Amino acid sequence: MATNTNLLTIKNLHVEVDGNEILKGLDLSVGAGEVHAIMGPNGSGKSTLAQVLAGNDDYDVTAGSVHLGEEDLLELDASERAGEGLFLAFQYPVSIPGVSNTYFLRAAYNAIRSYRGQPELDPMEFINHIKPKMAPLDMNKEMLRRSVNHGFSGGEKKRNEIFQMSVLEPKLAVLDETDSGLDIDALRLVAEGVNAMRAEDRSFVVVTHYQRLLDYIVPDVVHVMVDGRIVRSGGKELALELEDKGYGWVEETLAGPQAVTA
Amino acid sequence: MSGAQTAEARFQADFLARAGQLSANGHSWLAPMRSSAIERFVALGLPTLRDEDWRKTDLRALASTDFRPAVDVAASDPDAVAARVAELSFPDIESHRLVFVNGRLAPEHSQVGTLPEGVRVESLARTLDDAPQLAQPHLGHVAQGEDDAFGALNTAFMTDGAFVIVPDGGTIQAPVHLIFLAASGADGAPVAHYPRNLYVIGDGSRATVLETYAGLDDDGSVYLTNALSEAVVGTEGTLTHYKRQQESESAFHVARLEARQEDRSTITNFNIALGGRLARTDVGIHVDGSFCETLLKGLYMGHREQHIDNITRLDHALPDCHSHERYKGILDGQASAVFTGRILVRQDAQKTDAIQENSGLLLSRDATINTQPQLEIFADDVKCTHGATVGELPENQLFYLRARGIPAEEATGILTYAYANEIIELIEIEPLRAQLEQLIRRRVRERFASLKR
Repeated sequence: MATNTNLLTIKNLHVEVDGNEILKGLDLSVGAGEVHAIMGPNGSGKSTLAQVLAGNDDYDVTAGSVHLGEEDLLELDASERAGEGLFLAFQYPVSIPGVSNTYFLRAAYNAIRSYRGQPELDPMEFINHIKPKMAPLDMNKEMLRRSVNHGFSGGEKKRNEIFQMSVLEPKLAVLDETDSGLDIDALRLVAEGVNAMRAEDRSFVVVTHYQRLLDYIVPDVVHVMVDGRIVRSGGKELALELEDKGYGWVEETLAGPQAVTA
Repeated sequence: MSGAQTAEARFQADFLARAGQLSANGHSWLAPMRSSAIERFVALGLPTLRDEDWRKTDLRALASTDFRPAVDVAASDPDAVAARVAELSFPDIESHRLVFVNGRLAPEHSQVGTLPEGVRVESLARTLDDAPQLAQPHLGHVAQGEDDAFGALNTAFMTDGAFVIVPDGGTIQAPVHLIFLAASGADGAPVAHYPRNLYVIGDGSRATVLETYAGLDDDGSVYLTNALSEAVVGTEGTLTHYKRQQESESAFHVARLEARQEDRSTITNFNIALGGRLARTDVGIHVDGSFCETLLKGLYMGHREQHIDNITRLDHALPDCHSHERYKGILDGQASAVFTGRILVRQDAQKTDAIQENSGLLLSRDATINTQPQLEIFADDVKCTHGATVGELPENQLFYLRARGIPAEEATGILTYAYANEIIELIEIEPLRAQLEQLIRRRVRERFASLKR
């Protein structure tokens, strides 16, 4: 992880929601082309991190910095962050009645093109762009015609998230609990979608509670998050150790020295 | 001028001066009907904020405008009428069209195709001339409204409108499209027109009727539309009734539909209200049969200083009926709206299943929506639900779009359009849906400049 090729650099990030501090000095560096997994017990702040990266205004950043390449993300609006190449696969994809999936995706794709000063695609050009990306995620025309996530099953919603990612081709994709609520076939499909997109200039932050997803999306680095901080980082074997011993193990080893001083 | 005169006295004087012109079509019953209507109007007076059904709709601007009865205004430029009709009609599908300008049939712009035996799509005035026995039993009998001042005014001044009758077992396949245009005279003085329609749908019969209200010119002229439609739907009959109101934004529009349905019949009403400085639509359905279905859908959009008032009155008199009401509104600027949803379930109307949903979207801090569900239930075995929500666009939807790269303003525009589209997409007359989609898209795009095509 040479620092000069860092794609994402988070330093001492403090975040509050409604006056409660959730992230308490988080540091994280993700190099270009790497896949980092962030694991942790419920309430440790994993999803908060994902939402803050995407630019959700409900979260107050009280200290610290976040850079995507050279760009100061905290200075940018959510849509500008997407323009810079950030993508969040939502834990709970939002359904939007009355807006077709195709219309939505084209609006998003063209907004990003226009942010980058590139010409927009017309509807025909856009269809040609997305066609080859449909089959790998088992997306059919009907799903594109329907309103965004409206009446979609849990698995369809998650597939749709990964499909959007493949259409928008981000530099950094943050997957927030993408495995939750998926059966094994859907999980495999989603993981294949992600793996197909792995590239030297594209990084992934995979937020998950369970090790299961990491059997399919093999990470370069695994971080353990507890109480708003990264408390341990290691290789993919750390995930297996966690699976084996549970999060209580990390919390105990952390609490140990404190218990002595207390 | 008429400065000291009350509005009621002015309308009455106008009526008395023109009683001769307002043809009685040679019928002994029509002239007295008009005379007693104007007397009732004067006795009732225009509604004020003290009247329960008008508490949030201020008619003072209407009352202080001196409207010239449409009968005084010379015929309009046929090219202008043709151009407006072309914008509003549906060349690509079969339909029967009657065009009325200032309350009078414009035959050269109307076009009624071949109809099955006994079916009639005709001017009401002509029907009163050549087949009064078809209309007389119903005219003024569905919309009795002893306390309805605007209904009385319409009866006094009505000149023409549509008469549609489908005998038992008959069907009109193509939609009947009625276009009501208001046009000022050469001097531009405000005009008042009084469309009057009657729909008689026999047992097991079907018809689809669309009423379109608009100004002749899209120039913001001042006028008054006071329309009254009556409908009876026989056993197992089906009436699908659309009303598209896209009047001038300086116009006053007061319209009422009063319908009665019999056993196992279906009435669907779409109420699309987009225009008018002050627009009031009153939909009253008397469910006088068992196993009926009544579907009321509404979309209203107001901006600037528009005031849009919709009142629905559902009267469930007999058992085992189902009604579903769904109204949505979008307000911007200083616009205001009223939604009153009255559901009366009478003692005999057991097993009534009535659902009322109304929601409003506010795009500005100064816009207001006043919603008043009024449920009066006298039967004990019924299912009545109502829900009202007024507010802004959901933050989670906005964030989802923004997180995908769509700037906030464009995201707001997309979601606003989608909100309206949930009603528009239910419209079954395809070219009407397309025209409304285009109109609403244009209006949303004007507001949220970055919204893409």
